[in-house]
Amino acid sequence: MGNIASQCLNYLRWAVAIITGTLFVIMVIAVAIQVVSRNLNVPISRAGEIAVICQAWMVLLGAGLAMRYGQHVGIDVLIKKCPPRLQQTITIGAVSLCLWFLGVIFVAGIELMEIAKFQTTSTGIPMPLPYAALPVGSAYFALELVIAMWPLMRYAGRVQEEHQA
Amino acid sequence: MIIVVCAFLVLLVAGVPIVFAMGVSAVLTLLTTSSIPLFIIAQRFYAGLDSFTIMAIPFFVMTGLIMETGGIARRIIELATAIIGWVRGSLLMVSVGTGVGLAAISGSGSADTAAVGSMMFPEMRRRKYDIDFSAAIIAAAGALGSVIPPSLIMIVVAVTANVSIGGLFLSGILPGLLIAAGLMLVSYGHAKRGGPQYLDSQPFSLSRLGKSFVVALPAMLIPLIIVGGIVGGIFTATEAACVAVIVGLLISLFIYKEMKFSDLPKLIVRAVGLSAAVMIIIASASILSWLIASLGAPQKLAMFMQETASSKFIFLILITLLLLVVGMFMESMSAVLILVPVLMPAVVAFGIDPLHFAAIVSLNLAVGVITPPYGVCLFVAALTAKRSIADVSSKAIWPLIPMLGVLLLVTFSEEFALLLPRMLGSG
Repeated sequence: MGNIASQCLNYLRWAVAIITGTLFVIMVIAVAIQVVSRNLNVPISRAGEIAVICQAWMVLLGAGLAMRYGQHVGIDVLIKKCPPRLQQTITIGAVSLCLWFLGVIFVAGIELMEIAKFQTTSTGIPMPLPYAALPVGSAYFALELVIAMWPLMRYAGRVQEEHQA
Repeated sequence: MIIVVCAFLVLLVAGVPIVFAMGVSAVLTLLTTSSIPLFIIAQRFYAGLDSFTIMAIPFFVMTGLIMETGGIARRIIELATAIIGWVRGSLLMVSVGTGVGLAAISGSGSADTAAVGSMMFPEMRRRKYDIDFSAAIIAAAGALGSVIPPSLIMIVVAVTANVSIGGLFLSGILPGLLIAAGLMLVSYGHAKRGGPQYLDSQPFSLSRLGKSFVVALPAMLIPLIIVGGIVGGIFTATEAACVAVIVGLLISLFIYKEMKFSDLPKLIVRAVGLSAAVMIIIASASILSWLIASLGAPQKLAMFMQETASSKFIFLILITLLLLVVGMFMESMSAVLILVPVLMPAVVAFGIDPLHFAAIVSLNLAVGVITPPYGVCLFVAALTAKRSIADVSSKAIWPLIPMLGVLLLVTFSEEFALLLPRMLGSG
C-alpha cells in the first residue's frame, strides 16, 4: 500500500514538473511572439493573454513544487531554538493554520469558478479554466506541505520521548 | 488591524513561510471581522498573478540560472580579474567587480551571492584571506543585484508604486556603481591592514584584458539588451527579460557550449520553483494589501506622518529608518508589498516624486539583505563560505558603511537619485 502511494506521488510530482515546465516554455514562446509580431506591425494580443494564464497556473502549481524543494522563504531561527516538544506543538499549529488557508483558497476557488461565467477578452477562454488553478494548485500545495512538514512534526516528539526514556 | 499585525508577527516568528504568514493573517481577519463572500478572497489571490509585468520575475530568475550554469558567470569573473586583479586584495576586488557584472545580468541578489561565493571562496581559503570579512563583502556585492538593473525587487517596487520600471532601473545604476567603488575601497583598506596573503595579485596585462573582454563580450550583450531595450522603448521589462532568457540560452548552448539541451529540463524546473516561491507571496500579499486598503490604513498613516513629520526632510528620515528596521527583520518582497501601498499616500502628500521614493525603497531593501538578523545575502554568503551567520554578521559593518553612505545620498538628493532617469527621459 505504502509502495503504491509513493509511486503515485512520484507520478504526480513528475506530472507537475512536466506541466509547469511546459507552461514556462509556452510563456517564453508567447512573449517572444508578441515582441516579434509587434515589430512586424501585426501585434498578436492573444499571446500576452495566454502567457498570463500560463503564469497563473505555473505559479499556483509551482508553489507546491517549491515546497518540495524547500524554496519557500520563512524565518525559522527562533523556532529552532525552542525545546523539541514546544517546537513540535508550534509546527503542528502552524501547519494546521497553513492547511486551513489552503482549504479556504480551495473552496473559494471552486466558488469563483462557479460564478465566473464570462470569457477572456482576446482568446475567449472561459474564465473557470484559469480559475481552476486555484483549487488544483492549493490541493497540491497542501499535499507537499504535509509531506515536507511530517518529519518535523514527528521528529521533535520522538526526540522528546527518547530523552525521557 | 491589530488582528492582522499580531497574526502576521506570530506566524512569522513560528517559522511559517511568508506566503502563509501573509495569507493566514489576512484571511483570518477578513473572515472574523467582515462578511465578504468567500470567492472575493480567491479573486484577490488570483489578481496578484494576473499581471503581465510580474512575468519578468520568472524570466529573470531563469536568466540568473543560465548565467550560473552556462559559463557566463565564469567569463565575467575572468574579465573582472583582468580589470582589477592587479590591485592589493585582488580576490576581494574581483568579487566586487563580478558582483557588478552579474547584477547587470541577473535580477536576484541571493543568486549573485551564491554564484560569486561558490567560485571565489575556495581560492580565498587557499590564500588564507579573512573568510568572514570576504563573505560580508561578497554578500554586499551580491546585494548589488537588487540595485543594478535588472532587479526583481525593483520590478515589484515599480509595480506596487505605479512608477516606470525603466526609470527605476536607471535610477539604480549610479548608486550601484558608487556602492561598488565604496566596497572596493573598504576591501583595499582591509587588505592593506591584513597580512602578506593580500599581496598575491596578478600584474596588469593589456593583452589578457583584451582576450577576456572578447570572450566576455557575448555575455555582456545581455545587460545591453535588457537596459538598452527597456530605455530605448523597444521592449517592456517583461519582454526584455524574455529576450534575455533566449539570448542567454543561445550564448550558453552555442557560443560557450557549457550547457547541453539535456540540462534544460532541470534548469526550468528550478526556475519554476524559485519564481513560484516569490510570486505566490505576491498573490498572498494581494489579499493583505486589499484588506489594509479597505481598513483605511494608508490614509490613517499618511495623516499620522503629516502630523508627526514637520517637513519633507524629517519624513524622509522617518521612512529611511522604518525601511532599515523592516529590512533587518523582514523579507524584501513582502516588505515592499505591505509597506509601499501604505506609505504611498503620505509620499504624495509630502510632494515627493514617486520614482524617488521607489528608488529609496529599493536601496533600503538592498541594505536589508546584508543586515542581520534577517539578511538573505548574508545567509547565502555564510552558507557558501561554510561559516556561521554570527561570524559573518560581525564583519557586515564594513560593507554597510559605503552602502549607508550612498543610501543617504539617494534619500536626500533627489537630483542625484533621478539624474539618469531624467537625463534619458524616463523620470
